[in-house]
Amino acid sequence: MKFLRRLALPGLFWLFVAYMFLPLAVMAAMGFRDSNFVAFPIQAWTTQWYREVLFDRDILASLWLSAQVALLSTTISILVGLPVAFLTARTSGLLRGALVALVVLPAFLPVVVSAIALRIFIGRIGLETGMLAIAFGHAVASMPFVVVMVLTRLNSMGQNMADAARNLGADDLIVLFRIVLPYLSPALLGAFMFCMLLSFEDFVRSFFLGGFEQTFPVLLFSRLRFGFDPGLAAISTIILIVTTGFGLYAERFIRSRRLGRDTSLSATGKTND
Amino acid sequence: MTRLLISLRRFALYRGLLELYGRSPLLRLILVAIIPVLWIGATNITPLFQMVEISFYDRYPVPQGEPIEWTGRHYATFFERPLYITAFLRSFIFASLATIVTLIVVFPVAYYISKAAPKNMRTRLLLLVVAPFWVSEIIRSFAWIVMLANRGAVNSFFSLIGMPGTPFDLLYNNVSLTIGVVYLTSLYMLLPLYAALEKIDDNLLEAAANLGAPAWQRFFRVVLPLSREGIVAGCTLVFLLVIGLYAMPQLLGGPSNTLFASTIGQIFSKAGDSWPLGSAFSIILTGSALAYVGLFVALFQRKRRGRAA
Amino acid sequence: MSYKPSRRQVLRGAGTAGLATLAAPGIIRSAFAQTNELNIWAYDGFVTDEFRRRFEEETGIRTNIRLVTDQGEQFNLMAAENGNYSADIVTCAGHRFYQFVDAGFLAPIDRSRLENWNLIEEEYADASWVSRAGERWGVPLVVVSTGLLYNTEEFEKPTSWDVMFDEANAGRTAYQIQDFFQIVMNYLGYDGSAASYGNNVDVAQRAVDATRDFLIDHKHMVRRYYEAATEIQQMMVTGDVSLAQAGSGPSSQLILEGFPAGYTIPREGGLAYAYGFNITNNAPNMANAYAFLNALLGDAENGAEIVRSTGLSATIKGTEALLTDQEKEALSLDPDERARLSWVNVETAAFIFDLVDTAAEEIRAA
Repeated sequence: MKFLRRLALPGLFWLFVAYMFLPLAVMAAMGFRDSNFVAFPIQAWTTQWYREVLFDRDILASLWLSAQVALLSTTISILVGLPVAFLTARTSGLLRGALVALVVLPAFLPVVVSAIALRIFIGRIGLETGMLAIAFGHAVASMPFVVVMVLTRLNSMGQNMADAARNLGADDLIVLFRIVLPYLSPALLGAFMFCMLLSFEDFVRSFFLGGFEQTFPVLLFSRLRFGFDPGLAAISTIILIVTTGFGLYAERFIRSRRLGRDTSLSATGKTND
Repeated sequence: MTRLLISLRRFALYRGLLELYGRSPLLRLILVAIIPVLWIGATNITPLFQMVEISFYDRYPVPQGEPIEWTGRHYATFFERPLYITAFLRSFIFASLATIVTLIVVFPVAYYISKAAPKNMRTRLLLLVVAPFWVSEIIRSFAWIVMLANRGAVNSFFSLIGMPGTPFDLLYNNVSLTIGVVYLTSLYMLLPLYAALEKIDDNLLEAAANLGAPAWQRFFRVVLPLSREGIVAGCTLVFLLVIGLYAMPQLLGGPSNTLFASTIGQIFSKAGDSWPLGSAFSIILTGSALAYVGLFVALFQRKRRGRAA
Repeated sequence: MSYKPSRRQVLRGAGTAGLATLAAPGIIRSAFAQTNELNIWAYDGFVTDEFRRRFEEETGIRTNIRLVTDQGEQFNLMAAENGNYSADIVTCAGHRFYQFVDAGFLAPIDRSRLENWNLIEEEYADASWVSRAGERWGVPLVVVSTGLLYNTEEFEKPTSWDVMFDEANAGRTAYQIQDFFQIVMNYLGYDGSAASYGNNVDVAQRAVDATRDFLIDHKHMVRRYYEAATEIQQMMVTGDVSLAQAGSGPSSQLILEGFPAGYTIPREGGLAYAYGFNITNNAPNMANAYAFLNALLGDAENGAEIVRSTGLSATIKGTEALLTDQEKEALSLDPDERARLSWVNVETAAFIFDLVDTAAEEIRAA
């Protein structure tokens, strides 16, 4: 076990990190290639691609739209996914099976089909194509993931804690905010990341539900038609760096706040059931 | 938040609502159920019915002024042509194998992040591993092409160290396809596994160690059973992601790796009367995948109950 | 003619804006979109920024451009829009636009409203492939051919498609099944355009089956079936293949880049078709659409710019004079090669494409 803990596990982890990042490092290098195509060897280097994409108004506008869509769809998805998970957790047997099947259905539909179906659907309810429609489409697609993750964690939560709190005079809302949600927080963090990522890289739904303003992946695909140039590698690298930086900053911010809170209020702690 | 909720109780209206909620189980049920039922009905069921309807149309779009003709011929097409069934079965086998490979690759990673790594590093490590997924699927696919191509990074490295026989044909086969697919799916395995492993009590593992259980026994007797929920969730997510994948297999797979989702993608990608056939095939795929996963989950749950009894 | 938003559109826009104030700016703008605007779906590079700016300044018409990537995508989107098309102008390919026509998505072009029509090269302006169902459709903008792309470091200019099926080149070839299929039909002595089969389905089916079996027999030799132009460029650049059936656009981009590539039409022939803009049925901004197309035809500089950014040849007179020698060299085919191109026969296209599409699936699955 010592061997595992000290060497094998970290080894495997960093190997995995290499697997994740090596291709992207290669891509980042390709962004410096002085050519219209990406390939080895890189004979001439230039920073022109990186400079160009940073000032490309279409790209920046599409990234801004994508960011808005991602936040909005994630919010909808979690707000809807939570009650769905609570409801499902209260059922059992056949009813539960049927409910879960219905909930995860959109995730099983091939994406083209669900995109077309949603496009017809928003036409019927009179929702204009554009940001709201895309966010709605993404929320539909990512909600099953929220439910599956929350449900997984909810299953292992005992009633004892909630009951104890109720006996001490807490109402259901307090139980929800002070006990249930904190217990769910790892699952919610995971679900949040899921939804953001799913939305941020969705092409098909954004294409069908979008109007003349394009999300980033839609722009990417249309540019890709006439060649994969180093500019696309450059912008991807920039996105990677910015989002990672933002994520680390957010983590630090949340941790410092939590530290402050934990000292003033008693921690909710973990449950062992 | 708590203080806000407590101070809210000063208002009679809020108190009354709370009381009503506490007293009436029916109201409780309605409140919990209303959003889920509306949402599922509107977004999950309505579009599905739409597609089922279109799959029985003879053609779509229906030319103006002509009546709709109903037919089941699009479903019949699937069973008449062995080539579709082949691609269909290949999809299920491939998706199952890819799911298992992803589980094996990701489990140690998730375990390391959630249990073995220093506590204050865990979230940061998770963020690190999740970061690559901000880059578009299509860019990541191209990244692997640049890695594995005949004049790609790996072959360049091999020829640099003087390995004979370069360049190797690394792309467009089952291996490159699997590498690419696991690259895409690992996140969907990682997050549920992380959530499941994170809640296993460290004391439990220590206790098992103190009692002299060897590492493999602690793994199979303690870690694995306690992370079962996460494994089931992760496998479900990954499986349904792979079964619907079509851009990545198109880019990294070879001429003989056609999957059923690609077939459906092909049907929809051409202009013209393609919706009824495409919808029919999608419904066949969706139904089968749902049944397959349902069976898998049910098997797991029965096992658990069997063990508990 | 002036275009006011219809009552329904305003109501719908307002209703949705009420639903979500977050998205309000975008929605209010699109509710007023029908005043003096023009909505275009175009391929990247088909409408240059320079041309767009000039057109907007001169006419006061605001253009909204949505970049699209292929025919199926636009077709699906229009089918989903179900008659309320959000675009006034769409980009159709010559060999597939009959599907848009047959589905009732397009409005025929009234040439009397395009005074610059005579600026299109005669060869393309009155070609047979622009008519269907007794009407004329679309404004051809660029011309595309499909031929043989090869690596000049490894091959002398091939004269026949034989090289694609030579055992010595196994694992170094790639093609798009659907496009290559008709070429192979010609290569095997059948009629890829199916024009000579009339409507005799049996004869055509036999030809298609034989071609399909030939391609399945040679499946072990192909490295990859590709879909998008980008893929074949990437495979050539990274050395994964050295012979491919490819379009003239991606090929000339590679050549212009200085990559050791050549493009030819072997003696068994190649295909040609045009990409152009079409006006949608009941387009909300019909007059603006005509104004735009007219301006486009009268602008050879924009034509040359399209050629540069896409690698495709333009149909507008005077375009060629604006290109550099190097650009001409990469783009032009010699007269012999030009003569080997066959244009898509729109009348029989529907019938042969159905057979080919099915055969392509069978080859993929084999």
